[in-house]
Amino acid sequence: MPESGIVGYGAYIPRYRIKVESIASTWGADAENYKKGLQLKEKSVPGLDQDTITLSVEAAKYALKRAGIDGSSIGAAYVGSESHPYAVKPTGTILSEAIGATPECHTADFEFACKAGTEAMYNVYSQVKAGLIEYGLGIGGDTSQGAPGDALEYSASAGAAAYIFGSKDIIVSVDATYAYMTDTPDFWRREYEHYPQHGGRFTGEPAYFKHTLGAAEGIMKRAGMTADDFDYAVFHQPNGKFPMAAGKRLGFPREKIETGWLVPWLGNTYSGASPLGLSAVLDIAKPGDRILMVSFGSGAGSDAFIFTVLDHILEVQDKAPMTRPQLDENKIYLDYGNYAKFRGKILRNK
Amino acid sequence: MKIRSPRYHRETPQRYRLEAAKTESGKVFFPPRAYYPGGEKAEPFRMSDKGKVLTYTVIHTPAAEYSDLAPFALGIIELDGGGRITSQIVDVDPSKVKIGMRVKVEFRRIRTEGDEGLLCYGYKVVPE
Repeated sequence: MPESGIVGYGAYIPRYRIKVESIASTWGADAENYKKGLQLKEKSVPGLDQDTITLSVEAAKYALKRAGIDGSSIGAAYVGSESHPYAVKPTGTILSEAIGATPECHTADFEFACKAGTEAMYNVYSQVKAGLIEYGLGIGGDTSQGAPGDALEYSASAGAAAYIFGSKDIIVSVDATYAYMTDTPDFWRREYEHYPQHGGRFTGEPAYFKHTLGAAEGIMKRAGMTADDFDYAVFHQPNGKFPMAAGKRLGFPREKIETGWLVPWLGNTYSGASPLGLSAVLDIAKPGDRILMVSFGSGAGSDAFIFTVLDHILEVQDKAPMTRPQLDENKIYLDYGNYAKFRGKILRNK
Repeated sequence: MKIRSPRYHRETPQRYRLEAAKTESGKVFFPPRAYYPGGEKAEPFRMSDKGKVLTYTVIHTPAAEYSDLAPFALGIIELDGGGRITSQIVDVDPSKVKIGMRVKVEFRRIRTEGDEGLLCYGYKVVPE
């Protein structure tokens, strides 16, 4: 069976930001509650001309640069998102056309709330491993929406991360994969509805923690490993508090989580959240480092991966923009009025 | 105003991938032509995604479909390795745009045809 591992990765974060204080002051809420309770400081906002397709294309271009391959080599391209711009017309066709992967490319759009991105990654990993394709592109990206004044509005943000899997010049090996899934009604959006609904505190213990911990414990048990065997852990990050709490319960010290813990400054990028956390880790990882990644998608389920960083990563890390600098530099802050316009929450009179 | 699907589709190699043509004497034509000056032959040429602002203006009163973006800078960009594009210069205060400024090309949504029509994608540039 062919080897299958990560041969290139790319992250894209929009430049626009809004601070928690700007949202809280609009709705008469206490910003400190969100900053301390959920550990959120600010979040990314897509530009007026950006959506899941444009973010995914930029992340994919960066991944191709790191992989050192042409778009025409991609045999399958999957985009996981809950904010595909069209209801009917694939995100994947536009993405594949933009990176030059058409016409000999299999594509599909994936949905599974916040874990659609790791679904895409798992599928291209599997196809490469099966020998069906030479290279595959799996992307998690979202321009997530939170209803005005809802708790989600403080976290729902935008970003994308792309991973190319192949069997030559692997930079990160995939040592194990595991999935843990049940039917849990913690978060949903009905057809034709603009904003999602959620179960409040029900989204915590029976949803996020049950599946995240279930997947992490399951994969570590199968691999015969404990938290001590890992250098980094990346968890889905709907807010700052949940991933740190999950890591603590699994025995991970804070410093093994912090590198991939972007949410206080980025917000929750939904399908992009754990893939972006992973890209921030890969930017600074050294050969031999072992990484646990666990996504979570409402509905609900988690995908877990155990990765080992290989020597070749040192040759590609600086071939495309890194994740943390995109988060920390060149920021453009919006007030709530402009944010509402950017997100289509207010419309100009026609 | 709605664009007809065939026209939008026909322009995707240029709008999505900056596909140009380079003649035997090294001149870059974007978009490619059916015939070239002096009867020269040309090969397909993928233009660079980096360049500099050659000149620009600031649009304060755009066509209705771009009104939410105003004011925005619109410039002629000279790409590294040859070729020029006319492009919006975004993610920057228009008053901060300068001739000679380094920029890079990003994939963006150019226009949206109301609530029912196509989403039209293509290139814009941002500060490098």
